[in-house]
Amino acid sequence: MYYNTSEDYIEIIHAARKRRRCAEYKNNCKKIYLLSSGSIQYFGMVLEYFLYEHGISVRVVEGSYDGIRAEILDEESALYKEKPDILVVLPYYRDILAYPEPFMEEEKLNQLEEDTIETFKILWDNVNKIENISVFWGNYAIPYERQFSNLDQIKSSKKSFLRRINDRLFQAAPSNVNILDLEYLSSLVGKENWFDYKDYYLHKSTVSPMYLPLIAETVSKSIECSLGRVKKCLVLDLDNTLWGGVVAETGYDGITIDQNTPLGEAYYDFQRYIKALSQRGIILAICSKNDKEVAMEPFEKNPNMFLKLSDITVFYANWQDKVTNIKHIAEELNIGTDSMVFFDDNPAERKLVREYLPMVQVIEVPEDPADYVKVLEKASPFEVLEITKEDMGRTDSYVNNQKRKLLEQSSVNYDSYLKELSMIGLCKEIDKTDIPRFVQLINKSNQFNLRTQRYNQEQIEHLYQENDSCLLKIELSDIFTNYGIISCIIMKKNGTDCFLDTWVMSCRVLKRKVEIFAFGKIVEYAKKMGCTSITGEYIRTEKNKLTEDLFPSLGFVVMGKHEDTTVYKLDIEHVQIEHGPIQEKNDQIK
Amino acid sequence: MTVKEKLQEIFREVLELDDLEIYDEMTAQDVEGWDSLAQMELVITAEKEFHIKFTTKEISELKNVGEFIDMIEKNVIKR
Repeated sequence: MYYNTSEDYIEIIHAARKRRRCAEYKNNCKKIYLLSSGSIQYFGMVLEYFLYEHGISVRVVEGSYDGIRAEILDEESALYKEKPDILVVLPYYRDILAYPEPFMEEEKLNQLEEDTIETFKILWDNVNKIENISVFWGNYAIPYERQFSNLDQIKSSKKSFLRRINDRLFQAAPSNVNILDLEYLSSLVGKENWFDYKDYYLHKSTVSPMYLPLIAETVSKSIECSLGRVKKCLVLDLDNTLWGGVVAETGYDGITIDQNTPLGEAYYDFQRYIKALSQRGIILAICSKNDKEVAMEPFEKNPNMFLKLSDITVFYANWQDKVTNIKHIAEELNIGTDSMVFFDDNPAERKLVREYLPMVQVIEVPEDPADYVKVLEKASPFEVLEITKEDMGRTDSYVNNQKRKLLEQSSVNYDSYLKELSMIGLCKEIDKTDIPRFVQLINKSNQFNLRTQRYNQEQIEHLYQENDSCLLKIELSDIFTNYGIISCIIMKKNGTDCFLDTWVMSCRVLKRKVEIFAFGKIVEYAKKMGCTSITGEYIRTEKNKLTEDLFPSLGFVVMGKHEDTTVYKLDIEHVQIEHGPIQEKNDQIK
Repeated sequence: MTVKEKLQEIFREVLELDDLEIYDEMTAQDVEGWDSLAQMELVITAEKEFHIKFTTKEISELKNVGEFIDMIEKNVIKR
């Protein structure tokens, strides 16, 4: 369930308390440590409840009251004893001890800003002594009251100062510290509502209890992202969703999409918002009950349409049920149904999808298309912790996909299709600039992932410096698309043996025999490292069945099995390297 | 439903005591689980259920169930 309303806050708080009372924690469940300037017990419960509802079992440990600085600076504190996987920090504007004096000189003002940021850097450095910790740190919700009324825009006001601190926090945060935009949330609901000073005086609540669910949901989404759970695809209906009216009845030129009419402009604006999502890498899929030719006509022929066929990656218009269609879309895109978001004006369709595909996030579409953008924005399903250039180019167009399909159909068999694709691969040790994408791919890949070891940026930077580690990237392009980095490999030298610590591949290029190309390179680099054998490990998860037989298929021998882990070994001195359909390129693919 | 009956429902829900019977002289000491955290939940639930807002003074001077009922009744009239 996804809540997007503060209406139910009492019910959510009740449910969260009940859940806490009967919670049983597994030994291996993630531990979240919570620090705030105010009282946070309810927030902790609600956060635990949301993550639990989203299928993530965590134990939230609340730190001491007003303990942000005290606990972080004292390495003897409970924080360091607990060694949490995740730290959530919710500060309050009252924490800042020194605000600028009115009309403070520019130089002093800047110095104060620097000093304030410096205190954060010290806190972050300290926290990072806890190994592998992920941090979610709130910025400042700028208060309701203003010293200079409208003129509070002057540089020395509290408001202006906090604005600058918020900007600086985002820029200065190390890669494992994710800044939560509490200031946006407070403006979203209105500062008048957000700040309920009575709750602060009575129970030291830094925010009205009404918005605890909203904050908890925001934090929970970011935590889910850090665990590799991201939404990748928006599945859209057509009639009365992307345009007004029913195209089969009115024809492509009779639909409501003309931005010179009020209703037409509402749909047009929604399309524009969707297009912006696709530009940041969200895959757009159409799922409509229509004849395909009829459904495509508006995209091809109606000049008022903002979305064009080239913005859509997968187009399903037929008379099958949408549950089946969504499954097919997921298969075609090689993504899990749990990374899909469904937007359809028809409540009956939404109900079916909710019932049969509960892992799909179904947006509760309002009656008025003027509210479509707001509702989708408020649900903010496409939360990410960072954006890489690979994301921006990810949305392969429907046109390219169709060309690829035609090629597949016209090829005599799959192998000749792969040949026709003229794939070019590049395998190299990574550069420093590749690290963000490397980290992202390692944390996002679930299907082609042999050990599902997650690493943060700091850890990868550390491995990058190490002599006994080799970090390989694979870039791929074909006649239609340049995919960028689609595979990451981490090899660790252990005497004359090379341990394959990580081998992941993007779901976009599965079934392209990239693994054969990669394997040749792994052997080549292992030999370069002075190794005579490679040890590989397969750790079974719910999602990586795809790679279960990878090692045997490459000639590896089973050395041992323990619970979900199988250990393999391969002697590489006399191993024969197969040449797959991928041509090697020596230069960087531009 | 009287204010007292409705408040009793709230107490039962928040304190998770299905057969709790509230009475005017009842204080936090008399009931298991009525701590400062539960107090906050009782207050915000009552505010929402009765569509009212209490003042800081009212809440901070609250001593027993009887006063809780009075406080609700006073605010419901003002509404």
